[in-house]
Amino acid sequence: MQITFRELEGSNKSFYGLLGGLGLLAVIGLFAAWQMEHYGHIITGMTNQIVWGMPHVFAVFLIVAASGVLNVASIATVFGKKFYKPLAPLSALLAIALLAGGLMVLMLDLGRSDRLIVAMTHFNFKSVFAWNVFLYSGFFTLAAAYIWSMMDRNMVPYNKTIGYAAFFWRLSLTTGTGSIFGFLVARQAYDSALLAPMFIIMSFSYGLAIYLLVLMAAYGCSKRPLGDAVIRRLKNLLGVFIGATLYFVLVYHMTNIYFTKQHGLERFILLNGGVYPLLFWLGQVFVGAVLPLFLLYAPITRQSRKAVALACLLVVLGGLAQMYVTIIGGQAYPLPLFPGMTVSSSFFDGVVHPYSPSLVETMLGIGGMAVAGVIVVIALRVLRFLPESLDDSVVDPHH
Amino acid sequence: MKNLLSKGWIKLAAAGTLLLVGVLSLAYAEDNTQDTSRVPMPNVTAVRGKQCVEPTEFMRKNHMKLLIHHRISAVHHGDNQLADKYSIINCVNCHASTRDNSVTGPGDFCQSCHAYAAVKITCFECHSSKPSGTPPSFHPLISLGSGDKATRATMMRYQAYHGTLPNLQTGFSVKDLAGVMR
Amino acid sequence: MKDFDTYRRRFVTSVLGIAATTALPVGVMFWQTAQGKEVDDSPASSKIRWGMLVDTTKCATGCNACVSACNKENGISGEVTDTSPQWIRKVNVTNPENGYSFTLPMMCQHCEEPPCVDVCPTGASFKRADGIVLVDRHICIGCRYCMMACPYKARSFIHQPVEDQLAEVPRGQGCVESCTFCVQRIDAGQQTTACQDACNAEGHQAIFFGDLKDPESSISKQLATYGAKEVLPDLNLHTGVRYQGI
Repeated sequence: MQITFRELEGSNKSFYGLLGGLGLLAVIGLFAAWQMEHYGHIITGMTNQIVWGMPHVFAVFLIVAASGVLNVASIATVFGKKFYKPLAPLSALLAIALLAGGLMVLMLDLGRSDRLIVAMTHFNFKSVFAWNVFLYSGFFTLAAAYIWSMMDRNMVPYNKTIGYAAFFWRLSLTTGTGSIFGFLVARQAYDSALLAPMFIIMSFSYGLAIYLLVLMAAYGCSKRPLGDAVIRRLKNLLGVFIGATLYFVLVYHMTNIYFTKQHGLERFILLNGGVYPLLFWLGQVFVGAVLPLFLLYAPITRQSRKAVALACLLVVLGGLAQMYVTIIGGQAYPLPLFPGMTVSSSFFDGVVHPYSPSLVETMLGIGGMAVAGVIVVIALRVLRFLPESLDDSVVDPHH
Repeated sequence: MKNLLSKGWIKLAAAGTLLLVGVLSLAYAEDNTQDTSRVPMPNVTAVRGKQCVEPTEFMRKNHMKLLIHHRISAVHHGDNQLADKYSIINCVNCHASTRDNSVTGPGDFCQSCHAYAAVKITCFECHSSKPSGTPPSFHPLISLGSGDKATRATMMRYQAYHGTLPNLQTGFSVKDLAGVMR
Repeated sequence: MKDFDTYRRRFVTSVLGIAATTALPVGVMFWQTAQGKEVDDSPASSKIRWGMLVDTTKCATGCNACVSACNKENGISGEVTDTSPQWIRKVNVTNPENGYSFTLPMMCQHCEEPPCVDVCPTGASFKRADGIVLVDRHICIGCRYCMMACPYKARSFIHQPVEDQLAEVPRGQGCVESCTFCVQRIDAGQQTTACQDACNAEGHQAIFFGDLKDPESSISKQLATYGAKEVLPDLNLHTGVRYQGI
């Protein structure tokens, strides 16, 4: 059955209200960036010990989710599941929006944001960051081409090629993002080849959670029919990804616990590190994995859309907690200058590094999410990303 | 006429033209204040020395190229910043104003030209805008009198050949110029 | 026959297209290499490798002469907050089992294979031909990745605008910095660092500085006689700073 796509309709009041709210958050984020540029990073909570803070937590989350949200389109194109085909355009749009938001935060947090042109023209090709400049810009181009090949009848023959290219490109991109940390030999929490595939599987999980949230919100607001078949398949897939993420986290920590030299770090992250074990067990594991899995699969809740939406939201929150533990927890634990010895100095060697995020940097991070939201809201209203109906009778249940 | 006005693009072109004329007239309007230029003309002063290391016109066009090249030789090749006549330290040493001992205060050397040309300079976010010590006395244009062009070329060749500029207090002999003069 | 002609035409066109597309970046690369000819007689050459040797048995607990001298030489404020830069710091090391302790100055180790150089996206963090690892502040964008990558936590970020910097040591907001082996002194012909001079002035003589590639230099002779260890030797970074007595 032919599925027609239409721009999102709905009352002007709610559209402008939502846009205004998101726009305000975005403007506050930009104001925060201006303050940081003017006064220097001294007004943030980031220090010489915790060099990457809240902005990076949000930015890396958004970038990871951006690559993962394209999964829905890849399942349609690369894996040939026709069921996912009408869901693909929204997936590509979200990929662009989330990546734009994440990159905005990252670039505005630079000590010298005015030197972005330098970053675009001087490259050290041994650096993962330099590769990422190409990977991220290429991703924008590919995602845009992907949308074009989905929406323009003349370009549909190229859809498969572009879909494959986008699939492998985003695997490289997420590998690059995970390797930002995985290639660092200096910190005990990083220095691991497991981080790249872990980031890939996390991207699937966060991306699909955000996709499902946006889908349910858009169809709910515009009163378009969204059938149970779509929700069921997406939620089951999300459950698989959450489980896979939990597996990677388990393997990572179990391996670290096996190495005696990593015992100090593991004790810090899992037991006595204060906010980090709290965020790990309560945030990443319980809120981010166990509770959503229960909501998605338990007989009492799995039929309820509210439960599914809540599960997606919890996955997002758990993802942010995971980023905080990885990025900031990894920096908080002291570097092993003299393994086995007690070390102290005026430069805070040998002690856990404290970090209290300031309002300014948190607003910058939230501003990035808001910018992603603004892009999505405007695009859905103005262009034909969403099918008129995703009712059970319309979508093809035989993939 | 009615047919003409009915076309949308005519209206747009007319509006655009009016806007352009309006903006241009505001931009070029004479204001009746005492000071006829809105941005003060650049204040080119040197506190020390009779002449710059290069003629003014050359410097106006090329000082940024000299600085871009010099920063590579200073940072990456380890050239002695203090002895190099194109070093930013030596520019500041001569051009810092006596009023506020700086090149970036209002009306000072670097600031006045750059404000006039509306080009932001970020050099002095890192580099000191205040003079340090006395400028080296090697300015060949000051110590030697006539034939500046030949002198300057000779000095540069001497530096390229020997690695440093000649010590003009003690002078240099014809032997030192062997290999330099061709 | 006509089909084959068309096929041949298409084939040749696509091959030429691919060749032209790959030739462009390759050509740019060659052009850039030609432009960036290394100046052979540049003062910083790979014939020298600057290195430092610290004798921790002579390093006195509680003495901060090297730190103060470095601050003075480079125009650093000397504040000790979590956002203030410290190019060199005194580290106190104690063995928890038996109480044996020693102290040493820790600064950028000027590794031969610096992780900070590997990760810098713009190439601002670089190793000079004579072995000194520096940050080119003209190119640094302030991403702080090098700070994440340094195993010795040697780098500092400037968190606020700097006034009253020294003319010989430009420093400003938003860039990363670390010990430069007093490069402004070395380029001007002096061959000692400020920390070395201060340590000698205090009478401890714990710091040697010199050319590791010159077997006649005092540091090479000291190394040949007494040997030395690197901090975190298992990382195989071949640091320029070595320690005796750790």
